[in-house]
Amino acid sequence: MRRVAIIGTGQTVFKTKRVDVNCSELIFEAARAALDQAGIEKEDLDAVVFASAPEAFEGVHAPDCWCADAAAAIGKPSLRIHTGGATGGSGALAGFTHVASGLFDVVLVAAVQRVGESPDAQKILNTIWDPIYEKDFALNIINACAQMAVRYMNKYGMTEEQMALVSVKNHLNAFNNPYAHLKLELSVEDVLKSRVLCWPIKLFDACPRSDGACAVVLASESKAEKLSANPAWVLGVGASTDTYGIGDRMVDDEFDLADIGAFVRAVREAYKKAGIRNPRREISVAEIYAPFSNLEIASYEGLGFCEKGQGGKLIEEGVTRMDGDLPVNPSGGVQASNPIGATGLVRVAEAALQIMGRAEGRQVDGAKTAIATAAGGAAQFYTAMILGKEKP
Amino acid sequence: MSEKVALVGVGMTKLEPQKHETLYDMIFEAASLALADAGMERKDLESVVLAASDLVDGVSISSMVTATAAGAYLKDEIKVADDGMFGLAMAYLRIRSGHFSNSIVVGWSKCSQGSIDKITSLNFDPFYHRPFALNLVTTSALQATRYADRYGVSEEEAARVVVENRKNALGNPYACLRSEVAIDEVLSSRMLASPLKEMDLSNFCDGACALVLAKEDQARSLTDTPVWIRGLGWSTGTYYLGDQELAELQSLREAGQKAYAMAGIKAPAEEIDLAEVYDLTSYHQLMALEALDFCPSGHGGKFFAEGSLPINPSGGLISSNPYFASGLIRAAEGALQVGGRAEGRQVPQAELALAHGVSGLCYQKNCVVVLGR
Repeated sequence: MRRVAIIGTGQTVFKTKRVDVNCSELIFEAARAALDQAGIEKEDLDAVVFASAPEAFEGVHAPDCWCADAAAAIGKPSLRIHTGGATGGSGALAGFTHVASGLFDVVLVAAVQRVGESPDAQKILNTIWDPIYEKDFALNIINACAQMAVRYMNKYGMTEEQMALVSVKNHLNAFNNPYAHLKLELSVEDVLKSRVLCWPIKLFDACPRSDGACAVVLASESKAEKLSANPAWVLGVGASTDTYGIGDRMVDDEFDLADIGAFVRAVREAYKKAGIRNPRREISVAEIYAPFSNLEIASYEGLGFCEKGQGGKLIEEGVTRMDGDLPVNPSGGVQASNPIGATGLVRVAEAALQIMGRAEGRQVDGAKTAIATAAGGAAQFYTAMILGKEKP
Repeated sequence: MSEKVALVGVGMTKLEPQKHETLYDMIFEAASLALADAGMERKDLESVVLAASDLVDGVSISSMVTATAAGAYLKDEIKVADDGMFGLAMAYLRIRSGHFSNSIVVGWSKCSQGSIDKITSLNFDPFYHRPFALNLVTTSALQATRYADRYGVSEEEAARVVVENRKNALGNPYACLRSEVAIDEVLSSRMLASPLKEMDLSNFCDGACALVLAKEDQARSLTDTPVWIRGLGWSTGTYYLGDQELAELQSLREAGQKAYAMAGIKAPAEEIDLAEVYDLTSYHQLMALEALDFCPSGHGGKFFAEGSLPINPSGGLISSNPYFASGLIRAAEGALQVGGRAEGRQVPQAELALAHGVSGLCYQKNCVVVLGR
């Protein structure tokens, strides 16, 4: 297998609406920053992967065509990845595949979502459901994930206080991240008293909707070693797709809706490739795609950080806080910024920054191995990527 | 480690003006046929690549509904929001990476569900271009006008493409339009946007296509007649119409050159036995022949009239254009030809075939594959 490393990352500042730039300029900001960090120019790129989720957000069909120049794709092979919320994670995996194939040495993955163009993100996300049978039930991502929370509470006894602890941690972490959208100093009580969106998810359990872009440069072994003093090596990747029907996720004996079976499978595949047997010990830091606090708790188990049903305890013990021994989402995570199609790539970029030792105020000391995950559809598509300091 | 990748299974639905099956039934049909053709079962699949457009499907994140119909349940699946040929490229890269020994790629569109004019007008930015009534037809007409003006291409030369492609479709049981037309009928068909008349434009319809790819050892154990991917290339052009010479399909030229370089092809017109090119309109078929170096620029009409190279024996998009599946169908047709399985549309001694897919308007993104025995 060919070795692949991340040698540069770029992010925009995330905000509800970036009125100062158009969509191309937003991408350019992230792409330029990633090229700068990698110390290369667009001429050095062999291919481009464009990643963006529903174009209903931008209101332009084929945004990859519209913004091809900003993504440095002109005259180069490029294609667009779209797997809903998992888009950024899938884009990173596609970039990895480009380099691992041996056909390309240096590849840019550029992800964007201009959620600010749409008056109501959840209204657009309602259009992911079947127009005849399901759309009219007012399904959206908040109530889909609330169903997962309810199932998890019922099965494992998770409390709203445990969910609130996750929100407090993530919003506090965001203060150390210059790119973060929301920086909130919250108490558990603030979270519990915040407006109920769809029980048990309350306003401060939820992610914002953000405008923003992210870009990552991946390189082959020889290029990475030549161009970067501290590349983040890709140790393992995995992806898995679940059923469309949420009710169909209750038939598996090992995993039901509470356990996020497809997520577990994606993570296990990545661990297998990376040779990780004891993630609780071997992973130094995790950037996971959890737009709602309940999903972070369920993800702890899927990541193998604790036994099934013990996720709530992990946050109570403070293990995943910045001062704990396995920090999760030092960036503030998705609860602090959610530029939907770019969010998964932000997780990868943040994990890479940790490995490169460039995460500044949010740096986890001595981070050696990091995992980044993404989730998309109505919790249907999952990706995982493990990055490490040492060449595999 | 062998770097050879083969196409080992082909599956296609019939291409029809308005299919009554749901999107997932269509996709299930194509994927099942491709797996059966490869002699594989779903459990043998390691990777699933999907290719489609949310806007054409009328659902945001349409792969939510369609992924499992393509066999993706608990598999490593990814969706490319491009023409299916780019999905083929993604599947190829996945196998070449050594992380997968096989992959299915599935593309589809159900054009009967919406208006292609309205959907493609959304390709343009809302402020500066959309108000000009730009869409797939009008921008294709601008391109055709420029091409005709630059090289003196007559409406009759273009119409001959329609006559030939429609005639070829008679031999293709999957084709949507299966009737011959006379050149006068093409010329007198309804004007859409000068110089494009209704019959010059490809025939938007419903359909799905699936291909199974496998690495060398697996391909050889599955079939005695694998069709090898000899060359593959894709490239991206500029978006703004004023930034490009519309008469030259620059990104197709680049894609073709990459594919030829990989396949070791120096003289395409002599070495390639047949081409399935993306004939969005009759004019575009001629432009594509030039950009693919089958003939010099401006000689597309002459080269086509000579008839030395079988072009679009399937009948092309002019007979059937299930939008995002159309490039993948070109590859499927190429595989059937090289495998000697193209029945009524078989080109004799087809050993090397070229297939071509397009994403974006005015051929902004092109992907070319060369398939060989």
